[in-house]
Formats: sequence, C-alpha cells, structure tokens
Amino acid sequence: MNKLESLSIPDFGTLKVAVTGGSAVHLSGSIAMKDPRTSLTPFFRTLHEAACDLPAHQLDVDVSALRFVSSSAIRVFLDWVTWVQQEPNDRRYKLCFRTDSRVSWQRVSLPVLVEFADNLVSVEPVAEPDGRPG
Amino acid sequence: MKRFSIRSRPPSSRTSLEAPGQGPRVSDPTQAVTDRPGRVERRPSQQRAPVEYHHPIDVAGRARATPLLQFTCQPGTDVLEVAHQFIEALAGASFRPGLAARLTIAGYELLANALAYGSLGRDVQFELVDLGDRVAVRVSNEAVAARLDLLVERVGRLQRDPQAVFLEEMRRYATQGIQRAMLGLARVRHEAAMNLDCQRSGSRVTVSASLEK
Repeated sequence: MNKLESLSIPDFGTLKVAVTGGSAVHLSGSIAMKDPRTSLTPFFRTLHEAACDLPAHQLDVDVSALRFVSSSAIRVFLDWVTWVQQEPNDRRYKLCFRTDSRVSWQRVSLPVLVEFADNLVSVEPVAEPDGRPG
Repeated sequence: MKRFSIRSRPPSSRTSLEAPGQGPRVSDPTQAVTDRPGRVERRPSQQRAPVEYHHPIDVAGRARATPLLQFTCQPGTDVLEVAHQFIEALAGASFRPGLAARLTIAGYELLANALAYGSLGRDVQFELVDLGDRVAVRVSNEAVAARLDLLVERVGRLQRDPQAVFLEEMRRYATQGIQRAMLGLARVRHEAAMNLDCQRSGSRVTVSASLEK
C-alpha cells in the first residue's frame, strides 16, 4: 500500500473523494464551501505529497463527476499545479485530469491549467459533449 | 444575528395556466400599472391547450420580473453552501440542464462576492427572476464608494472582453497569488456566457446576470 492509498479522507460534505488503484483520485459532487482554502487545501497538499512519491510520476485526477466548483476552488486547483512546478525534478509528477466536456468549469478552466504547465498537466475527456465516452 | 429567509414559488404555479376551451384565466395583480395587457398565447391546434403566460411589459418597457426565488442574508454569514444547494435544485427543477447549470454558477458567484465584499450589517438581497423570454440572477448589497467604482469598472471590462479578463485573472492568481472578486464575475460572463449589468443607487449596487431561455 503506498502513501496515497493510506490517506485519511476527511468528510467534505457535498464533495466526495475516493482513491483508487494506487495512483488515481476521484472527485465527485460539488465544491461550494465558503472558503475551500481552509478545508480543501490542506488535504490537496497531503495528496500532493503522496503523489510526489509515486513510482510512475503520474497522478490521475478524475473530476468528470465533479459538476460544480466555485471560483475559490478553481484557485485551489491552480495552487496544486504550482506546488508540482515548485518541486525538484525527481519529485515532480504529471497531473492528468479526467474530465467530462459537458461540465462547463472543466471545459473552460482546466485547459488554462495546461497552458500554465504544459509538461505537467494534461486533460483527457472521459465523456464528450454528445454524451459518448471519450 | 444570523438571518436567512427564503421565499420561492413552485414553477408550476407561474408558468402555465389551463384554459379549457375559452379565454385564458390569467390573474396578475400588477396589471393595473402596465400600459398593455399581458400577452397570452394559445395553441390553435389543441382544444385544451396549455397556455403560456408571457409576462407583461411595464411602462418603462422592461419585462416585469416574476421571482422564482428571493432571499435576504448578511455579509459574513455562512449561508453560501446551503444557498447554492437550494439555487441548484430550484434551477434544475425549473429549466433545462444547461440553462440551470449556468444560472447556478451565476447565483453562487454573485452571492459569494456580495457576502465577501458587502458592508457588514447591511442586507444582501438575492433574486432568481423569470423575465419571460429571459431569466436573471440579481444580487444587491451595500459597499463603500471605492469598491462600487471598482465593481462598475470591472463589469464594464468583462462585458467587452470576457475571455481576456478570465485568463488575466487566472494568470494573476497563478503568478502573484492575488485573489480578487474578479474571477467569479469572469466565470459568470465567460464560462456561463451571461450578460452582466451593474446598477448603483447611492451606496447600494445591484449586479444582474441574465440570459435567454
């Protein structure tokens, strides 16, 4: 069991988090809390620390069922990308977001993260706008 | 003191009236102040057709609002998540999914800004309003003059070039860690593709986000 699998996942209310397969995180529901930086950022930071030790140097983050996030939560995702960029090369990993293109925040905001860190962030749709799997 | 009260009307009581074989039964207590009666359309091919009631126009030429949801709360209170769930559920029950999702973004972001930047002790008023062919989210709050000036200027910029402002806000945060209210507004204009409007009256400001149904 690696560090990621042994993580303790807090109760975030409408946001559900699950770790699967040792190198994937599933986020679903919504992030509408007043200040996600106080509750969510510490957990994402722990995720990040665990991901730095992944042998494959890649973490899949499936957000396809995360239907709503606030602008404050988008900033938390931006923080996450910044943390990866700030790591030394041997601890860096690739963040691969699995998305549903029908969900507007994923379609609009996540490509901007790719623009900021092209070599570290990728977006892979698991569902296309017409509803077919990607 | 924490205050949060919600008044809503179920969609079925406002959007459709049954008119069995004769003139439509439309009751509108505010019709007296209009310069023309409410427009009512019937489907000619059906004997017992549902009647769509198009809201009348007031003397100033603006579509009269039918609030689906109204509530008042105060800056500093922790009502955002509960309000979001309510807005999302109501929009989802009233409109097609894509429209509901856009309204949900606007409802959340406008309310979040008003709660974060409104003057303490002064009410924040929220409305989800059916305008007939359009639907709007309106949030009003009080704030100091300098903040209102900034808000009006930013809404104007967003109206002109939403994508550029959205990217600028994302970059500004990523490179400088500067957190401003602008990203939420930019999402409403750019991501939800809604029209933004900002009206000041003294120290009170009303920000509206609207779109066609």
